[in-house]
Amino acid sequence: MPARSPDTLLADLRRRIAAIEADGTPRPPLPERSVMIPLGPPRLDEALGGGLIAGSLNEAVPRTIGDIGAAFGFALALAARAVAIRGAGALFHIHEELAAREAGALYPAGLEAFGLAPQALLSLTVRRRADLLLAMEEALKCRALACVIGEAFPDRRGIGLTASRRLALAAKAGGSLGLLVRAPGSVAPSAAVTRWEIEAGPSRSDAFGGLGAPALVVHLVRSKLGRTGSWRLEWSLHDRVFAETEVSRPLAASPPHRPDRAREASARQSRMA
Amino acid sequence: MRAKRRRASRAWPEPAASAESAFSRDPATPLAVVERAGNALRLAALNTPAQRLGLTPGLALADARARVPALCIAEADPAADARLLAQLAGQALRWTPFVGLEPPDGLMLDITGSAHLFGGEAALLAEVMARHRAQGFHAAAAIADTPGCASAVARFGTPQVVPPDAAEAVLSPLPVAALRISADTAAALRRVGLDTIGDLIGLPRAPLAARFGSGLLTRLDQALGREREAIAPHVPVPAYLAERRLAEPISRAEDVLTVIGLLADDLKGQLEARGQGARRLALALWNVDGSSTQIDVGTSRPARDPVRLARLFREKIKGAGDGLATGCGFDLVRLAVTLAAPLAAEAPRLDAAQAPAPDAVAALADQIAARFGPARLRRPVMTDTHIPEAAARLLPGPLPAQAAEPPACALTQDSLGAVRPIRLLAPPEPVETIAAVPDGPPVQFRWRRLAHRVVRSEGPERIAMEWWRTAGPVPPTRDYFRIEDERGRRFWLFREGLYGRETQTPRWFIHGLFA
Repeated sequence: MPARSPDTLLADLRRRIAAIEADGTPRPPLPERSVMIPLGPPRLDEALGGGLIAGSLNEAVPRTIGDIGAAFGFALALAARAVAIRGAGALFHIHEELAAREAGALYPAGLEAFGLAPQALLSLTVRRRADLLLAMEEALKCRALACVIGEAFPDRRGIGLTASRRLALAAKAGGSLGLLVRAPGSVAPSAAVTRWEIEAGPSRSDAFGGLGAPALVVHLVRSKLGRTGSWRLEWSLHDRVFAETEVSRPLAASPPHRPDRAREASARQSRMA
Repeated sequence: MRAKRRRASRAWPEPAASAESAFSRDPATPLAVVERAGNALRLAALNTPAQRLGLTPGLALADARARVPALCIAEADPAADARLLAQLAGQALRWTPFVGLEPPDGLMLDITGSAHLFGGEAALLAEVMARHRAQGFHAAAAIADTPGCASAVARFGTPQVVPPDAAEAVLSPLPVAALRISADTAAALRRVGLDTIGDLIGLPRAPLAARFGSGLLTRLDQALGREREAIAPHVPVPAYLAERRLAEPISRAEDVLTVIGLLADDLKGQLEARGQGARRLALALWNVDGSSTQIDVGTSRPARDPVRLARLFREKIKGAGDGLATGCGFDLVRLAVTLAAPLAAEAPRLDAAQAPAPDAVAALADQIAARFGPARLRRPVMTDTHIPEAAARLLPGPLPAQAAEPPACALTQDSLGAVRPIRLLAPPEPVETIAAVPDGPPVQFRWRRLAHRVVRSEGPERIAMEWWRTAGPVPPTRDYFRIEDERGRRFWLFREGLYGRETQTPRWFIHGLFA
């Protein structure tokens, strides 16, 4: 074998390292955009460069402790998107024993509201955080799953960059959508491709004055796919996609002497928000 | 090769096993195990020094004390003896998968077809005796054509291999008690001068049966091989098993896993030949010192893929935390299928590398269940009831036969089906509420010290408790409301008790969270 110059050797090594790594620097390639999971709203998908990537790790974090329902709903909605794009596939859900005491446990009857079949669910209860990460890694490697949701809250200990990197690599190997639901305020570094902060949003009332479709305010706070930003979304059960809702805010106070019914209506709506 | 089934019997003429370990301070101390017979304490078993002093089993304790004041006493513990015997039966599985118990102190092994693995019957007998002596037992053993003969020779004769068709000659000099008959029958036989089995063999049968009952003749025929006798195996004999005897003991978990892989390969052929797959597997590891360890795993669907089966054991051994208790190392590893189910043969796919295996989810489920315990992996189970916590539950269970399909038609209007939360609190947590009217939705509520102002609500959805299922008083009816607070968070609250009919002060609970 002819001796190679140090330059070519180094370049070769860099290339190989870049191929191994799945996160961090802009140099290494992101998980191949072979299977894209568009979320629905054009502006949001454009910011993501087309959608989330099947085979990547993503994080959903509730803004406050009260937004856990909203964050978990967002995770289920993404799972429903992943299942819809793949056409089939199971959903694997992992949570710690203590999490159920804090914010309730996953209720299978609620899955239908997201267009997910309860029969496609497998739920694992683990005792420790280490077990959660181990099980999630194994599940992400399985190529028959559409989505793996891990509930890493209570998140007092965080999960660590190494563990998060392992999950990212496993997701890349398995090709399923990895979702880590974390506790509010967790800012630990991670190898996730996107990080979403989720807030509950006021729903638009249905025709009968009841509660409307699930509404969320999502903040994409970290993204390796493109721009960050905030969106008001509504989950459309019928199409199993998100839709962006515009809540118009009055720019100036309406003149007191001239009632404007349209403005009043919108003001009422924004007060509720 | 002998056509007849051969049996080996082992017995402990001095069944002081449990007591001996408790009194191991000085082997020269006379020791007796006593049991309560009626109102008296009687000697049940004795060690050798006590026997030398002239004590015999059955003697009253008071008499024995009078003769040997220094006698040490231990109380008989039949339960512990039975446990010990079962444990020894487990160890004896190394010689044959067919091991029966002969309580209180014997084991019966069917060694048909397995003696040659140990260098012949004489060598097997020597090994059986040596292993038990090494563990501190006074073991006696014999190999014969029939269980009755083996038992008689082991307990009353000298350890030996009874040649085929020599049963009569070997049994003749033995006392009649060797026939496994009751003590009363044996005493009655001795009274009339019939001391040995040889005395019985030539006698006319009808008078014998008339005087001592047909049980005596049955036992005699069984010992001589004129009547068949079945051995009840202590543990079910598996239909499929593979084993490896290792010249050099192994102790590293990786080596054990390698052997498991080889055994799983062997099993695959056996299972394939009969179109079966394994549902439950038992791995037995025998230590050099004779003790054995068993590891069980289950699969959610019949499987015979060696890689997949071996992986289940890897997860189980890894999940055990401190790993295997290897001791001095294992010299015998046996993998047995304890439950099999039909599994159709599959043609290997040409594109196997690309397409995920159809049972990939089942394989993952097995792997996870082996690692974390089958009770921790749960699946939704829907029940036909309106009570929310019972209607949909997560329960451990096998995978359905077919992979789940997405719903053909998603619910498009919330009026079509009751909307259910995505997280359920168990049990429901009480909340303080302010309501405008007693049977209306709340205006404000406080949960976990946080106040929520209700902006919009939907309900009530009235769910009455199932009076036809409860024996006692029926729990109060619940009125469920979906509620949205001023920040857009959605909750599932219910009021317990119908105002004015069931209660005057209904209590409120939060039961779930919506997205």
